Amino acid sequence: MEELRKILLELLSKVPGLYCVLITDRDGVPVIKVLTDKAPDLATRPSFLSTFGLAIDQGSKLGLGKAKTLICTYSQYQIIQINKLPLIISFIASDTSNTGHILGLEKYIDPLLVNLTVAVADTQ
Amino acid sequence: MDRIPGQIGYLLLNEDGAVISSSGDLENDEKSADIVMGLITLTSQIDPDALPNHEGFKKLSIKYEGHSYIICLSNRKIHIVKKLNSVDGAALSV
Amino acid sequence: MEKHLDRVMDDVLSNPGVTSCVFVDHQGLCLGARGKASTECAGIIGAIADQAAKLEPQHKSPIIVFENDTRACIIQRNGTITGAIFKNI
Repeated sequence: MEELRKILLELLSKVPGLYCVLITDRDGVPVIKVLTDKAPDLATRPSFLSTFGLAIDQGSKLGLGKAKTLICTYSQYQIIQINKLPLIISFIASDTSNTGHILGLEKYIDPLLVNLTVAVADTQ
Repeated sequence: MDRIPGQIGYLLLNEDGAVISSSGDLENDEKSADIVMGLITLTSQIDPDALPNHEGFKKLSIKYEGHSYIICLSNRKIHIVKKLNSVDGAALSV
Repeated sequence: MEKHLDRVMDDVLSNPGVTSCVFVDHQGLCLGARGKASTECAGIIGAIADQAAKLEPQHKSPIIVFENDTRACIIQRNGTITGAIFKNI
């Protein structure tokens, strides 16, 4: 777990304007989170993060299959969430931050998720 | 280093990005050193599909209209040279 | 809508030695890619252009060239769009 945190912190420093990386379960309960002091408090709460689950359910009604990623941009922030059910990866970044670069981090996080997914699946 | 034609400054960094020596325009230019270090860490993530066999790059040039920065890694050190572009403009054609 | 970009990319690819090209918007999202390059590298290319532009912010964005013995990757930002060309040399 410590190692995982270290890797995530490294990712956090790689992308300018990236404030926070969270890996949560489908209810938005954090499994692990790394954040800088600029991360907005409200957005790291389960009540906010769990809306992703609802959003992708709605998104699947478009008939294009299950949504993989969700990018929301706000006036100051952008939230990028990636569907790895039973886990969700959430990135919180400045609105000016490089969206493509953050999406590119997925491939670094993917290999870390294997163990976590097993752990979360066991408890459910 | 001083013998490179058109050279107007250089920086020598160690692997961690600390300045070992410098001269000319780049004398004690830690800001540029930081930016270049950032660039090098980014470069290591560039597309493996377009570059088969995971071959790395040997030389990085950043070309402005009148001058360029040439960056090379050698002997676990990072060499950065700032030089004027040659008059015939050959350095600018890509 | 992207017909024009498609044409430009085909043009670029028809140059000798060019193996692939990628175009990226200001958010680091891929506008288009041709050849072997994957759309995933768009973010990195945008980030590299951003980082290099910090070197001398008062100047026009520079041309960034990565080279080894056989290949080169050329990146330049123009306005909000960044282009990258991979070629054999």
